[in-house]
Amino acid sequence: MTEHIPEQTLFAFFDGRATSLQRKLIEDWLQNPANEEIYYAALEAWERQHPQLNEDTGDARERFFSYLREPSRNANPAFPQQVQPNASRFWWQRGLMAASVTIALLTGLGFLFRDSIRYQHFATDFGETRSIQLEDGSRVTLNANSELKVPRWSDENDNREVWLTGEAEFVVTHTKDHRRFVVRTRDNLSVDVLGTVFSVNDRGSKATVSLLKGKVNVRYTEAGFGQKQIILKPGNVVTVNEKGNVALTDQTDPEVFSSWKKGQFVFNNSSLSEIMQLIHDNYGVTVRLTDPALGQKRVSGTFTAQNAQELLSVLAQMYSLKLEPDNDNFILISPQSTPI
Amino acid sequence: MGTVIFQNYIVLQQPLHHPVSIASPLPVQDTPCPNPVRDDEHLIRLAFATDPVAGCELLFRRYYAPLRNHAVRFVYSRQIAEDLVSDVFCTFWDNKLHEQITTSYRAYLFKAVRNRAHNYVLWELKKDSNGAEEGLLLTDSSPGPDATLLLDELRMRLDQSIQNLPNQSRKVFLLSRLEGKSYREIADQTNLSVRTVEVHIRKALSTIRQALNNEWMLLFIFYWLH
Repeated sequence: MTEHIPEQTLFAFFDGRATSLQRKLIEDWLQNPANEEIYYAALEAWERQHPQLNEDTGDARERFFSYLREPSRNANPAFPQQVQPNASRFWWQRGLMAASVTIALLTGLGFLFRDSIRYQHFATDFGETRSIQLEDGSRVTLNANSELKVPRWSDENDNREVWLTGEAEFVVTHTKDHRRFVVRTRDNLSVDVLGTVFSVNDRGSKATVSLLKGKVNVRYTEAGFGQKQIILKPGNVVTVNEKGNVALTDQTDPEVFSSWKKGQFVFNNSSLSEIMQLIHDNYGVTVRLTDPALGQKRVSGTFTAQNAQELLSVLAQMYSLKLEPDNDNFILISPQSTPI
Repeated sequence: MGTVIFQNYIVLQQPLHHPVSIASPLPVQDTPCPNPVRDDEHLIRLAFATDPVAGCELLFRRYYAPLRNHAVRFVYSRQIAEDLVSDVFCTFWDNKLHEQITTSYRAYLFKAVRNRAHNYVLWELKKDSNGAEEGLLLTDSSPGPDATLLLDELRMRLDQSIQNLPNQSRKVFLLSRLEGKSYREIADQTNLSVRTVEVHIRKALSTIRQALNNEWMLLFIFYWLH
């Protein structure tokens, strides 16, 4: 009997990505009733990571809580005892009136929750990257702690539109009818393309778009000047800050911007405090520096690390600092500032 | 301070392969843990012992959202998913199940929701063929370990068959099922005639039925044998 099934394998199964061998292992493993508990715990975790609906529980909670306090429970018509599939409690089997009431209710709910109904949400956790194939064949790789919103359907004549928070690389396929692919970030930035490879980072106070192949049009709003746009050529990197100020630079190796896909961190004269911010964005880990001056230190180089701890221990070695865990976070202690 | 430039990452990669000296290393993901699931239901149990109403409230707060999220993958309607999950909680409360169940609350609730969702889909598939096979309905705690995986596979199959619908059919189907729009409203929104909307929905349902029927038959056979 299988001893242990890691959560990733169960997640792969829930995603429909498990191999038949993995499936067999899970099946054997489930023969032990104790493992059923692990299965459902993983299922719960997986459902929490893949929300289908808006978080809002509506009035269901209030209704249930008042139901709990009702003295005569059995006579409550608002809450039938049991869902009986044959008991004709579903709307299409009831009379016209019930149907129209339900439709009115659903329309109301549909209005309230239209975001979660119209859009599919893909989100990554801290330290997780995820690749998503869109319906048109385009591929999006989401970096950690990022979210992508994709319409569940779109009109054939419309642009292909997605919304991004965080960081992602897009490999956009060209459609026969030349439909534009538009990535929207915050209000002041959108990227239009036809078919190309580029990456977008929209974290903190600035947004960065870097282009690998093809041509993209970046639209942004500059404070006081309204809508503006800039056309990027391969290798171009454009950074837009909150005010809409734009800096266009060339990166001879734009792969740098999606190096995170390979678990690499590329720093080019970055300050330690910028790196701490990056670690915070990607892994949700806060790093405290005992000596604030440390934040000014500059780092360049390519680092391969699978998690925050690996990256931090390399940085600590570079600067002869001591790395100490602090609950889920870390402290970087500089020898000068701590009495030995 | 100044700038430290490292020429290449070969040097830098080196330290990664040495054991990292950290006071308490982060737990490695793959180590088997002796206790199957960390008992985070402890507080809920405690609440049930002192005040069942408070216990049930906690239970609802804790599990309603993931359960509804799970149910909607089967029933494809927000409203039905919500009703179904609320009903499971009501049954739990009415029958004082917190005094009876031996598994975790989580396992019980997930099973109950999945089984009712399964019954619902089964009923929907069968409703126009008149041959609803009563004996195959699942009770709240019925499936054994083998059916557990089958249920998840059916859920994936359902999702796939909806993804595979032609664009227009899927749009109309989801508008009807998830937004609860009337055929008239859908017709106005999509510039189709009401008749065409009807045809789209009928076609969508029959495609999904066809795709699922074979799969579901496997489950029927499974239950006949047990």
